[in-house]
Amino acid sequence: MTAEQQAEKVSPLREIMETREVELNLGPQHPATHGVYRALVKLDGERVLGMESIIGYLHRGIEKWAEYRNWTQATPIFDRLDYVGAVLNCHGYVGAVEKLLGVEVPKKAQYIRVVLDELQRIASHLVWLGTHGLDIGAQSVLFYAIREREAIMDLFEAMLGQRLLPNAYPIGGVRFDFPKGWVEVCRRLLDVLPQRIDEYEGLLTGNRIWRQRTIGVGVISAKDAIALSLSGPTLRGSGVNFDVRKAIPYSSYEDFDFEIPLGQNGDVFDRYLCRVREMRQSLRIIRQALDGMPEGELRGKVSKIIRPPAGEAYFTIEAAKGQLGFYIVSDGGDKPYRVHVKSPSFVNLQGIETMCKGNLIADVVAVIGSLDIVLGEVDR
Amino acid sequence: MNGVARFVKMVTFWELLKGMAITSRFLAKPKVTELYPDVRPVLPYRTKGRLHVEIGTCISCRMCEKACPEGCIKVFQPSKEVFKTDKRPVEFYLSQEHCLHCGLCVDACPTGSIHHSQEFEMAVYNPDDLLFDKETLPYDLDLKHFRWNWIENAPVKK
Amino acid sequence: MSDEKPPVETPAPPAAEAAAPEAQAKPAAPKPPAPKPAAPAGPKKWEPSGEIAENGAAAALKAKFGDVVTGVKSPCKEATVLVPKARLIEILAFLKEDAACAMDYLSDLTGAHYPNNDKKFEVAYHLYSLTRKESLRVKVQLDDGEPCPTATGVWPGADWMEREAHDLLGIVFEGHPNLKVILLPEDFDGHPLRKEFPLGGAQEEMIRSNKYGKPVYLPEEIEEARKIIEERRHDS
Ligand code: SF4
Ligand code: SF4
Repeated sequence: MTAEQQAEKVSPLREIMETREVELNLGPQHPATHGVYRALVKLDGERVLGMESIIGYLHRGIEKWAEYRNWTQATPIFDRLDYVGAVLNCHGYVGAVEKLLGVEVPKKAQYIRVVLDELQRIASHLVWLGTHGLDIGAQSVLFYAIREREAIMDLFEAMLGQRLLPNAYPIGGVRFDFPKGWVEVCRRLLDVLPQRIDEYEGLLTGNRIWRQRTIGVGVISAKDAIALSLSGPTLRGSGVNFDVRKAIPYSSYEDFDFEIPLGQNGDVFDRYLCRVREMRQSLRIIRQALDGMPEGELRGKVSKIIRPPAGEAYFTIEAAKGQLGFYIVSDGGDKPYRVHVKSPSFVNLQGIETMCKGNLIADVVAVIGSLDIVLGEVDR
Repeated sequence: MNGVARFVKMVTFWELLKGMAITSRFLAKPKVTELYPDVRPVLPYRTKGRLHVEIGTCISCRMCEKACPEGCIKVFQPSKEVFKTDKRPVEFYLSQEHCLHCGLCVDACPTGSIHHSQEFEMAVYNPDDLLFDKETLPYDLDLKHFRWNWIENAPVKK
Repeated sequence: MSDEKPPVETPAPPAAEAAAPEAQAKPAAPKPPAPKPAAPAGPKKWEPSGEIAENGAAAALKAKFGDVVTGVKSPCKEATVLVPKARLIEILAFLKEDAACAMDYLSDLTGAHYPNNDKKFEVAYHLYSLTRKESLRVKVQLDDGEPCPTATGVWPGADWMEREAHDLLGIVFEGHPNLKVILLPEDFDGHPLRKEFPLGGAQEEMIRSNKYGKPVYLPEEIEEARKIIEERRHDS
């Protein structure tokens, strides 16, 4: 092995001082793992030779839980998958049921969903930015990012009634229109946010400490990323142009004009840039949706007791972390027969071994941060 | 020229200074944090707080009970003779301990009797204090600074 | 009311499991007549409704493999094909390599349990072509305990997804490099997503009989319910 030869070369004292591989437990209660994730890292000095992920500490059996509730009652539980992007999860499940039912969601409801989805995406990326910065040592970003997220949470509270887990959409549309004055506040936020994103970039993008900690760290090639089924900014950081909003448009995303930011090298820095640029694109989408808001109904024609035809459907959306898929099976009854969640964090976490191999132990923390995992979604 | 500028930026730690400038700009700005127990937040109209039931308008139809995913609600209908004239429930149990604040019961209610109030302070020493019955369920109307969000959920005759 | 499903279904799976070793020991002669009278009276089989949808990849697959590949009905017109287990890996590799299919992205891999069907398990592969922008669902049917060949050789990303399906449904993936528990504790007994597994796990009965349970377990009689609530308040 090359690593062994290297070790032999650098340590002439090997005869007297014994060197050996160390197995180190990172987590499960480590602040840099963003939850209860445990990594068993095999180390040679500070260099990572291999890595094994141990997950499942937060497994709550959400898929089983949903089989015992009816189709409507199962909606609130999926908010608990990715608890910093709850609206998007709700959209995924509700969209899958609508697809199976064959319900046409009114145009206005689709636009409202787009606005709320994109706000949620920004909120999720802000939490990621703050915590990722904190991991690598840039503490002040957290305060600024959380401040802006608070404004978005306030908007959610005014619109949906709750800040974190709002149970946003009923099957077939949306519950309410925007409350009075909401659109004005939202537009003000759209004006403010670009400057604030400039501020974060001023703190981080040019910062030489940040660049040294992130550039060339945790590299994954496009080929590997596709083979490992990564999705979202983690895949796009490697330069693969795959965004569900463009590739398989849902909820009227084909009406909007936006770009998909792509990286080149597939390192931590590119994934960071992708997400930051994605926030700006989200702002663009929200503005277009608010400008072009059509008039009309808020809910499609859905009966009170939902009984989709027997069969299966697979519906995917672009969540904040990547491609979120819902595979639902119905037996024609009023309860889901099987609900499977393809959670982007779970699949993206597979790539961590490839990314970390050969890097330093301190870079593992940077890589975990750049994957943007939420353990509620990994373990389900 | 470009190279010189880059050299100057490198020696003067330009980008770090820029970050410092951004941070120090906030020194003079007003605080954005709120002192919660002293300053009560004004909650928006749709806040999903603790559930409130107007026992007077409830018709004991048990729709909310069937809609709830967590089984927080239990409604007891009056006997058949009484039900003809007086549809109000004889007992209404609601456990806020397990409530998800999802609002599905509010969606299901045909009369708009059950709705969220704006009370959010539900920390108790004993979890059983969150089990409400007919007497304790109606929210204390004396606290005027809470607004109600039932108007939006009340049914409108078309 | 919402939890009545498991007691109704529990008789079916043990009977089926008890029948399985017999069928292995003897030739399958006594088995075929058994399901026939059971089918109309017994529990409902799961069968998709709708119509068979076609797309480019499904057509190319059918042209190459002919009658071993059958279309599956889908109510929302998603292209779905059912393939035999013996040729699964060959077909998946063809789907990935062939230029007319080019299904280079494995979007999802999962399984489902159908205790009333002839084949008790189904594994579904959700494929997507990044170049041709087309999706396809490939399904394979398995018996209880029958191993499924692993797809990790075709898409390395199938690794964790197969481990998850093994964990929650008990499907064995033959040839998987590292098939151990991923979401459940190491000493967990059973496979939670099988239909006979109770929602509350082994503690289900304990939760139900607990007088500190939720109001949904209150009796329908108001006096009894009041007594329970009073007792509970008194205790605490
Ligand atoms: S808000 Fe949801 S969880 Fe709470 S009582 Fe109503 S339906 Fe049940
Ligand atoms: S749904 Fe409304 S009217 Fe019916 S029992 Fe519940 S609160 Fe009363």
